[in-house]
Amino acid sequence: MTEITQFLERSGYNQIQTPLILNHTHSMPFMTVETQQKQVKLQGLNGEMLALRGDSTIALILCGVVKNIDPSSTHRIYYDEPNFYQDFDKRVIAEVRQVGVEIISNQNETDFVEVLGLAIAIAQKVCGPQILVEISHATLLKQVINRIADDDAKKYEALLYYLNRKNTREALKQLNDSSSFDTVKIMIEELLTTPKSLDECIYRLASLNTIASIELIESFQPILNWLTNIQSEIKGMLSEDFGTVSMHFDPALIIDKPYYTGETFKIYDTKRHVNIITGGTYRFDTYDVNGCGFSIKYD
Amino acid sequence: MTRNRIRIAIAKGRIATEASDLIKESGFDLDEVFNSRKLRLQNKLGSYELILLKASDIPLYVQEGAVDVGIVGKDTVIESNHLVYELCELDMAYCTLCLAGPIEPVKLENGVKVATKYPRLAQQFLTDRGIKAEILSLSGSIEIAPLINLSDYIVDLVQTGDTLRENGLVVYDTFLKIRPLVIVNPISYRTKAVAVRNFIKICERYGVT
Repeated sequence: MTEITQFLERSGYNQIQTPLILNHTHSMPFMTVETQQKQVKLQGLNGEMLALRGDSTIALILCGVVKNIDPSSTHRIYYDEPNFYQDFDKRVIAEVRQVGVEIISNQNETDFVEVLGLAIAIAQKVCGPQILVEISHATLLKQVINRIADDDAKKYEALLYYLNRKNTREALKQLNDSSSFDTVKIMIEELLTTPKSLDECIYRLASLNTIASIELIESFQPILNWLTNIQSEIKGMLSEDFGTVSMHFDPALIIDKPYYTGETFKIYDTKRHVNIITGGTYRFDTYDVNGCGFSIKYD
Repeated sequence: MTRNRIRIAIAKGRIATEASDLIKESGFDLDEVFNSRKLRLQNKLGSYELILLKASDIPLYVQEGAVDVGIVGKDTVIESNHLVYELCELDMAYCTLCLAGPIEPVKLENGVKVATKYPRLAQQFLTDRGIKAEILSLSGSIEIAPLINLSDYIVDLVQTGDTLRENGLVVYDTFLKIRPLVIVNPISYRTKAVAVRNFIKICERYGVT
């Protein structure tokens, strides 16, 4: 990892260390129920519930490093430290060492493409050229699913569950009473369940959007707009700095961090068949902080 | 495992037996699969490796990527709650998850005791009906629980209903039709896409339409 941290230093990122122990009650709102359960919990001297650091981004926000940042500046930081969680299957407390990178500010703009480029560069240093990059947009996907579910909370939860598991059959069962069943069915079968290249996604979405506009369904327009914009930015970034990179769009890309409120990505090593980097953009309303970051685990 | 070769786990017992045509079509020697003591088997083309595992272990093996594809009952997949893709449901080894109890049952209301091997599913089943039950998680011989007053009801899988009848129990409600699911590791789905999809195509010929 020294090569990576040196690369980050050269790229203008400053090393920080986040706290090892956090107030569990404060960190809970930013975690899924499953992640909360996996936290390694401790009791403080005053009876408060503490937890060992399980997510460096949350630790970074809660510790106040970014509390008094200059509104006009952006912070480029990285950390190289372990996270801890309970592995119930192996019945051990697991320690995962990782390097993480964050760009944070309290402005609304976050530089997803810069962070993605950095992540691809690091992935290529670690794995060579054989990587697969997948991007998605958590908020847009949830908006689309909510529209398809006609704002029915129970249907929304069921759809999200089955789409995240790529279970088309059960997802379609949730739509039996939908007036626009045929179009939505095609959208789900053709698009939501299989990751495709960015070019192919935009082509298919545009075709489906033509059909959808006849049936007055606007569900997929926000994703199409975002994909079109991000595609041109990513193409610019890739053509400048990198060789050929397989870049896919998977709307149902699962990233188990509820604070990711915008674009997300995962990078896979296609030779070793592992996910090596996970990242995305986030906003912590309570702390008025926007950011974009990723982490890479190592032994 | 190379990019062109995948490891498949099938649940031992009824699912493996009923999936024998699928196993054969995938290029395995059925005699070797069912009558040898080998734990790992290769198909004729060397494209698939097959292992027979205990059903309840398969979702974990698939989630962790120790195997790429698993064939196991939907009940086991839901109950385990491991993160796997559910790409196909096979039209075989059919059974139903039911609420059953004695011929003269206790009223089904809050506080009722329900014994089951499927605590997550049973909880969901009863919550959907607005009942806050005490779930008793057991590992087997569920039918005995209401007969010796451990529980008021059971939630269990029913195939023919013979075992329930022989023990003086009656089905009061059905919850979920259970068939085997073909589950896939999310990373294998991406990095071994061609091999996984070729196997899914074979499975779809045995799938629920």
